[in-house]
Amino acid sequence: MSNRLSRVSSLVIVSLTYLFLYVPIVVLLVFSFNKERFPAPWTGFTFKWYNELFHSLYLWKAFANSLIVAFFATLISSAAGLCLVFYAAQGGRVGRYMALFYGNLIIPETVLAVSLLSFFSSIKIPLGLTTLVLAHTVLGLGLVVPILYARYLELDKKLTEASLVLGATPTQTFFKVTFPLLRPALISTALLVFIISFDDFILSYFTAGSSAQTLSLYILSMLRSGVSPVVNALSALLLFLSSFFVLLFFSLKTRVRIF
Amino acid sequence: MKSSSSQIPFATGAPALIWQILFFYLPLALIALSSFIQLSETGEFEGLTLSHLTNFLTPTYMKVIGSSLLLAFSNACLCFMIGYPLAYFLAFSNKKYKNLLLFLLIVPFWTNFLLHIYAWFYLLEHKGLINQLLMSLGIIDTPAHLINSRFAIMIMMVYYYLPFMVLPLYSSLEKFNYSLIEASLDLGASWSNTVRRVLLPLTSPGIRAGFFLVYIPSFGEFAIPELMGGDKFMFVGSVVAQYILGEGTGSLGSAFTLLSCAILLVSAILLFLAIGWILNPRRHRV
Amino acid sequence: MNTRTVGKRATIVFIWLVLIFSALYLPLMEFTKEERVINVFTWGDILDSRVVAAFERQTGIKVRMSYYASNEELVVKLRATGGEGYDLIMPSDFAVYLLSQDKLLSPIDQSKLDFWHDLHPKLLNLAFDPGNRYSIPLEWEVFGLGINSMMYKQPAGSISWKAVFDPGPIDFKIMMLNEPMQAVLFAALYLFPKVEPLSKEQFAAVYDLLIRQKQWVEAYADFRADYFLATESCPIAVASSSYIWRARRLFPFIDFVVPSEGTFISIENVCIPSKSTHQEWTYAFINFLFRPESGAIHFENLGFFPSTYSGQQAMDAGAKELLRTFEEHSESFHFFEKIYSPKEVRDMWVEVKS
Repeated sequence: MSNRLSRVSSLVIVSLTYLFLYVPIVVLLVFSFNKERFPAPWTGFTFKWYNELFHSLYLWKAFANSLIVAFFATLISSAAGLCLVFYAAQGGRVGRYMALFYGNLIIPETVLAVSLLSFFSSIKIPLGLTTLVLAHTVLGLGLVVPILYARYLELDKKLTEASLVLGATPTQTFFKVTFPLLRPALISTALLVFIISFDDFILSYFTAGSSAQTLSLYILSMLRSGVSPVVNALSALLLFLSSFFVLLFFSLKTRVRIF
Repeated sequence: MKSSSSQIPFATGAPALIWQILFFYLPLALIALSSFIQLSETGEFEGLTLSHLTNFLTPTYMKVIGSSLLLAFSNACLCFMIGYPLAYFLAFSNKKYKNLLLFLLIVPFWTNFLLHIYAWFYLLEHKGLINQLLMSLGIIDTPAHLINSRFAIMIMMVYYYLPFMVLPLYSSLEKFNYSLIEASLDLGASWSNTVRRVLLPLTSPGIRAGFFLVYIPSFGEFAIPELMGGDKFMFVGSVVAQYILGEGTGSLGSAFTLLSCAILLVSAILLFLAIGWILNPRRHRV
Repeated sequence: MNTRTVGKRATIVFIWLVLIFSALYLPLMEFTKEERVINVFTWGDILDSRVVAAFERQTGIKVRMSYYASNEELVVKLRATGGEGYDLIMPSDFAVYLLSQDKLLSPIDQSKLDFWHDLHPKLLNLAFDPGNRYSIPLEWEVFGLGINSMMYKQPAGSISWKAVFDPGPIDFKIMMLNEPMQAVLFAALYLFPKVEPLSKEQFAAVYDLLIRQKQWVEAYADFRADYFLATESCPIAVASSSYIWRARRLFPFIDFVVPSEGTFISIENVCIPSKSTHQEWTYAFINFLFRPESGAIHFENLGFFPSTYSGQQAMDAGAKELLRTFEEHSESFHFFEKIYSPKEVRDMWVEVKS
């Protein structure tokens, strides 16, 4: 197989793949402006679905809940992960416990959700936003800790040694030297955790109880009960948001190796 | 170097460990334990039993587990076949296109997947776009049955899990030294031999990571089969959801979860070894 | 590590555990002073928020809502708390029976209600609560076939359940319910003259029927009937009237038909748990809920049929027709009950689907 043929065929595969990824999205966006609901074809341009979207109270409440949960989950897992690295930097023997955090990869999310639900029910913790934050933090820890610790190990030891030799305390060294070096990885991982938590569905389905409504659960209830282009409008909005986050992620100059 | 008796570092570093143990491993252990516990009608502890587990050792439930394994495996394979060329292209393409293509890849990845399911409804429904297009072009007379089928489930699974496969592959391929391929071709090896003997083995960490990131979560999927398959097909996730959320069936749900997890892990280990063996047949595994 | 270090570390771990768990149990701890609040525990989409808001405005009593997803969840929660924590619950018919057996319900003081005369007598004094000691019927819904009249021409005369269980060669597919025990009940209704506990052979016949039915099923869903009918994926859907009526608002070509063999009815009731405290405010809320305006809002938005005569004035012609059918043939309207062992039913359902 010649090189040119392989290049053309790979170009074809790649274009087809991106087409595959984007055709549904584009269709969704286009029809968010359609005058009629599905399955009517294109009848005219309108903003009325967006209007309805912005007036839907339940939706914004769910949106706010998802934001709150994602924010706190990201905050707690990032802080806890950073502190764990701090402990390691001060000489704590963390390495052997690292394997614990890889568990998230081996267990399907459904299993985790189910076990958390049983756990909460058996010790009678009320289900709601708190339990959601807790569950999502577990997810977050599984990402933050391995990535941050791996990054920490890759750091040039000479920098910290130099700092100590020049008279800084270990704590000062951590805050003035180690932390700035870790910051890009921390920020990009935090972004990743935020998005994963915001979009999460399986954990919310099991551990939110019936009182807390997240955006994913709200969309699910919309999917289950009715066909409205308001969902299209919502998708457009969320796509816009995700693009923004991805741009943010890419703007971090240091290339972060996640895997 | 360490301040001798200050436990402040430990105090700050402890929560991460505590959290993980308390809210990840402890619940899992509880699930495993409750699979064996027999409760009376009123919820009192009666004793240990294997009956919950043996309840599921029937052809029906084994078939459910089997379908989930098959689903996960075929999903991983499909994602690999599509994802590897994509990752290859991304890794060795021009700098200015690379970022744009990566951006385009990640944006759908970072959007709520339920919306993607809704998007595919638009396309695959009886009066969806694909059918409308095909009918107006005269290719078919009656609408093709695309939605609520295994086909629809598979499409959505690949759609959702593709980035999980592509990103580790990309990461691995990025570190790959292209000159090795050039060297191999210069020395007279054919393209397919080069791919088989040089490229694949040296990117096997990425391949393994990609397979795992797709295989394991796919096993537990229940939302996609329910929404795209019309809930006509039972998978492990659907059964678990039904038992755990139902009443009085908690122990049964735990038992089935334990059973399927065990089978999953065994199959994952086998898969892991198989990949290693296929990629590096006559040498020590990486 | 020496023992002092171990001791210090253990203390640290303990402190963290205390912090985490107090954060988790925080919602359970009541620090608010006594204010005019009632706690209502109900389904997700049964009470329209406008009705609740209007009540709060008029009386100044705050309504705190919690939701459950199924009757089973309600029963389990109430059993676990012994009837404490909620002032008002809304169980379906069989749940009322279960809860009253467990003595978790307060008797209703009919003298405090101003609408008792307005309730439709056919909805009262039924088997699950003789004399209506513990429950007041609020809304009712009927199961049947939702039909897209543009796609499917109804035969003259009545339709049988055969249309969804054994239609023979057809070129479309139907939508079926996703609840195993309900599926068994509907199958039994079609196959056997009476709805009563099944024998082993009868259950085997049900199983065969459901497996044969699968070839004609487009999808199993509890919630998406209106979606399937409106998008013209299925011309026939087995669904409850509330979903169909909600769909009819937007898609008037959807009809609702009760098959000739009869069908199932479900009544949502209002009950007061045994350990509730603010009974006066609760009765005020109940009286508000049964007003004709509230009934009208619930019918228009959620598709539930009101239980009071005055509320029923707000129903459309189709719903009134259905009510007449119910009045005249109430013996063909059955209630859901367990007619076979749940475990076998579950296993059978998994088998049907795999």
